Amino acid sequence: MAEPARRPARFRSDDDFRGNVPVHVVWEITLACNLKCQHCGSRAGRPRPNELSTEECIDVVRQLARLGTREISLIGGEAYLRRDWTEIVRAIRGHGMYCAMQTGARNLTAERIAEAVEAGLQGIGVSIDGLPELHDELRGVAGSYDMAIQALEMAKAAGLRTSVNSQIGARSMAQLPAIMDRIIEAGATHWQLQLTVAMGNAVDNDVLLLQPYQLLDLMPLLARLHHEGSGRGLLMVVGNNIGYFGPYEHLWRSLSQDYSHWTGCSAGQTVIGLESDGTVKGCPSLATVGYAGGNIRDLSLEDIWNTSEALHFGRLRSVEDLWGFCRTCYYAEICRGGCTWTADSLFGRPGNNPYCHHRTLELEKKGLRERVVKLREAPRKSFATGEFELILEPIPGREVEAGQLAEAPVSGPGTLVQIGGKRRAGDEGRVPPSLDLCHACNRFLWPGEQACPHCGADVAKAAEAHAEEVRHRRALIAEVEELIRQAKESRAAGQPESASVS
Amino acid sequence: MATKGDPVIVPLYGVTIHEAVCSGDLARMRAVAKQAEEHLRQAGNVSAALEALKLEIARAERKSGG
Repeated sequence: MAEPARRPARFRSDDDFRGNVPVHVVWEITLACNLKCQHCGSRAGRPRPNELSTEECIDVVRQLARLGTREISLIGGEAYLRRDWTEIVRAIRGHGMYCAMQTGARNLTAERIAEAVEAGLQGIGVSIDGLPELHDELRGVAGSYDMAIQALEMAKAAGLRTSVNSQIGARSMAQLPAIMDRIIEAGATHWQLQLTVAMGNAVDNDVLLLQPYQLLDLMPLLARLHHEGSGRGLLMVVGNNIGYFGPYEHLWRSLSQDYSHWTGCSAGQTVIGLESDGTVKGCPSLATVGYAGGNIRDLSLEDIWNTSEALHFGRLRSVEDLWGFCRTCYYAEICRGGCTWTADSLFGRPGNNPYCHHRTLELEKKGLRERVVKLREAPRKSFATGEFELILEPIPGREVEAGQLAEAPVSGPGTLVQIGGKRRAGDEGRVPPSLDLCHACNRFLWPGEQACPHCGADVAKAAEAHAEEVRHRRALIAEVEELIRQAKESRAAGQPESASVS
Repeated sequence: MATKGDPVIVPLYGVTIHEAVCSGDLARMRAVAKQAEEHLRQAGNVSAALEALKLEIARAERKSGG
């Protein structure tokens, strides 16, 4: 795959962070839906009673453009069930923002796709959560898998960028390799993976949820699929609730030349979530209760974005807001408890997230694992959460090794790193710190560590060895490219090739 | 040395980041390897044709008493 011609709209600069620019907006333009997904957090189906009018939507687009938004994902429910959805697409494109739609694709016809392309839609993400039988069961409609694949193929043929989103749950994990084969065949170039989260319908059907300890099997599988997919033209992009800081972290979020890593929840800092009735949240998946920052019918988007306390939790969060394992984790200051939605949906408060690879590895060293168990159902409302208990227990078969369970498991190696004090609402946005990478074990570490706290390697020596490997690699690339260039020139000139590539 | 890649947002209800592509040395090596394989494939066609040509040369030489 070639290098991009321009910096992707969603890549954030330090100025974006400092200015809390809402670079990416995910907008539920209607809650109407023609699927019945067992894991739907928003309990989509009927439209909300007072969804925004066309004029109000066009005004929202204008306000977002003024705030500096560069990309808008349209979602539902099912976005195209709104009759005016292509007008909204046209308005977004009229302001030069990237526009794509995430869809379950039931009855997403060629005609609908053509209309969207004509309006300026640039990409489509299709949700596929399993092989045909599982997908149809999870989505509640027979034939929905076939429609999803067909939509992918039609979108590709229409010139749209095409991607797939897949939720990983207890039953779909084993099917991921086969799903990847199918979506590559259907023409997808990007594959976003994310864990099913305990919200809405997923609380009703909590057997769908992966358990935290299953990350020990999941993460190596994802790493294998990442490499394989990459060799077959598919870029795997992990969602914000997959991570954090295990031995594959350098794969998940490094979408440019340099290594990158999780930098904490961006809700209310560089992301906005909009509900179809005008409710503004810091992230599309967060609960409405507790996280709604206001309604655009009452206040301008700019005022909500700049003054709403409910939106600013992410801007103000510090290590002091963490609890449990996360509170004393080596990565506390940068990670800040991983995905807010994932943790909050389980326990009613963010800041302690058991779905963390580093955490499961640290527990596993002590013969321990964590499991979530439902205590209370979620109300029958959109974005409602229940309550779960976090169980810390010995790994079966390692009970003797685990011994007496500590009340709060000791977290990672090294000392707790805390940078800066408590933030205040008017402060400039937080530019996340950058960690170093240990090139012996590929784990991230705080700058200044001389010995890797994970593998004990001499960090500087490992970096030197890596630099030498990189030099050798790049020299080899240059040599082969030159040989191929010479061979092409010879062929073009009708001369026998003197260089050989072996 | 501190990494300084582009930290990317991937909210869980949204479309993935379409504009990102595989980059880095591994992606580049794969791309170059593909080009090299294509080159060899074309060279392979020449090799096969060359063998056929040599057989015809030998046949023609035998026919002309060479």
